[in-house]
Amino acid sequence: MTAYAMTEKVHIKACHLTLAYDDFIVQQDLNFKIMRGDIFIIMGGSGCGKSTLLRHLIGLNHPATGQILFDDIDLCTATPELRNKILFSMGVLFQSGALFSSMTLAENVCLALSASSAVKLTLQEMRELASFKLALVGLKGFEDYYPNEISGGMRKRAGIARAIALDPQILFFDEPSAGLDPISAKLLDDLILELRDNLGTTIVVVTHELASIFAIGNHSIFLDEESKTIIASGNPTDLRNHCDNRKVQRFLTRDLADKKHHGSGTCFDNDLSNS
Amino acid sequence: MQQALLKLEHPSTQICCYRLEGDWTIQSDFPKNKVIESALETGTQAQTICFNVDALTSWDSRLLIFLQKIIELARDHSVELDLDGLPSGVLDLLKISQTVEERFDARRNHQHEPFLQRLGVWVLDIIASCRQAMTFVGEFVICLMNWLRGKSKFKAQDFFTHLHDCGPKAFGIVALISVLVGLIFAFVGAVQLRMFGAEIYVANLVGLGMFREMGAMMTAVIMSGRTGASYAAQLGAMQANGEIDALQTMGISPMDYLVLPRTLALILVIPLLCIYADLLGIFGGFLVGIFMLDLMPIEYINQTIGALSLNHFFVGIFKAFVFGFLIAFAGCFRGLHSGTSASAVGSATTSAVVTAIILVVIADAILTVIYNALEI
Repeated sequence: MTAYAMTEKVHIKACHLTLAYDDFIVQQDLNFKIMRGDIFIIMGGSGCGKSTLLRHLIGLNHPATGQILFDDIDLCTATPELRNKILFSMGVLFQSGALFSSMTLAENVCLALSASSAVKLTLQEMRELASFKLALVGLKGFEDYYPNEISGGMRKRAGIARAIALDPQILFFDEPSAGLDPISAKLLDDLILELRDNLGTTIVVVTHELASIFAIGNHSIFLDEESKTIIASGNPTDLRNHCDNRKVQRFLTRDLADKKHHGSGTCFDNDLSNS
Repeated sequence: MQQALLKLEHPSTQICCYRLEGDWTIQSDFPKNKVIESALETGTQAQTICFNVDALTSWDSRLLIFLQKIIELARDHSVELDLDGLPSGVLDLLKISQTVEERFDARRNHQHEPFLQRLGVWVLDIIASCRQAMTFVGEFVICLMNWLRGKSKFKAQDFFTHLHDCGPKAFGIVALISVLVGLIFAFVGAVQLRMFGAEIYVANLVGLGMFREMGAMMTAVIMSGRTGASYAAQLGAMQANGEIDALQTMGISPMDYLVLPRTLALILVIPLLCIYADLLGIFGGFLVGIFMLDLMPIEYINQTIGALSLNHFFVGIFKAFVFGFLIAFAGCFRGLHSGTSASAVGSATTSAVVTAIILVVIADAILTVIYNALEI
């Protein structure tokens, strides 16, 4: 029995979202809901706009049209106070880790803590908390190392420690297991599940690692590069077993041969011209 | 290594058979372009193209690109292709290269743009860049106001680190340049003034020149290359590494956290460096006065003190203050708007120095006109 109980409450909602860089449309008419406590997977082939969608979700880019609502608040139009409140409630692990290279690992984590005016910790307490978070990701004792002194996998884990510094309600992971060995990737998956189960954190993961997708995801959307929108959504395992869309099938089964399944997946078989 | 040979066989008028002989590898000698082109031309006239590889001793990607060309030609001219004679490895590799079709919009269009279009794009880029710069200045002012009202904060330690980097560490280079500028000033002046027997006025020339103009100007030029470039490179590298994005998602404004401490440090340090440069420049002139013009040290010093007033001093200091802001602005602005590649960080650094020097010279000209109008 876990402390976490699924609450059917919408945490993040995207309405008619269009993502674009100037005139180039990356994805359009995206509609989805992420429930509180979900582990929500954004998947799709390379270059389909997964990371772009993530950048929009975390407020780094503004949607060309449509809205992203966090508990019914739009990050783009929110007042600076509300915006900061939402930002402090989220943690982000970037693809490269994006640690501050001029700071030690402990300082990286402490920066996240000192950024929020709501945090009332002494410097000593912050340092202890940073050590604890680093211990959570298996980096006990590495507090005073600089990012360029540790391996790529360790940098990624340190990035997670920084992302979870403020015990955020939402965690965004961009390709968390890319570049990790299978054991580290498995440990990372376990950590993600633990965070959700124990803290009830909503977790959004951009990935195309099939093992992770099936191990942790309980909801997902599949972005298609060609039709520039979502072509399937639902539980990843259900999609694998029941979705008729050949692209989704091929992706989830790593099989170029077509298999026909008949069942009830929420997928939209709208583009098979190239299949 | 045998030479690669291409021969044509015509079993019938409708069938064109290419006979490939020798080593078709990237190390072997290859038939001349003319031979290949005429052979391909003949192939397009036939109905079917086939291959004879009995005398082919070895092959690599060289053969594959040749075959690819033939496949494309055959497709364009609706010629049938009989690939059966080719080694199975060749067929497999060709098949793999064609498994994923070319995306219809993937290829870049390298059309030559007309001059007016390029001019238009250039002007639009400049306008966009100006707008970005104005936004940046606006955001900085808001950030400064917030800081003055105690609403935004940065790490005091960062501020002192920057202060140390752009202050004491620049003493050496500023000293060297200033003394030399003072020397040159005095030298050039001495040659002219000697004709009138007015060597003593070298002290006025050097003193006024350094205080009003060259002290601030030379410090600004040095600091553009030293600190402005360093700011742009630091922030550009942070941008390339995704650190700026990370800051934003942590709810920390890069303006508060990165730009403000750097700018404040530079604004504070440059006027002080300017005083230092003024004094050393005068010292340079003093050396020329004493050793070349045989003036008495006390005479030179008294003449300098007499020529200078607090007005002249503050004229230079105010300029230095403005230059400090402009250099920090150019460095931080170019750094924060840098691209994410290594060459983009390089360009950001270059353009930070160029922008800073241009801004400094323009500001100097404007300030000089204003001082003149105000009769300061």
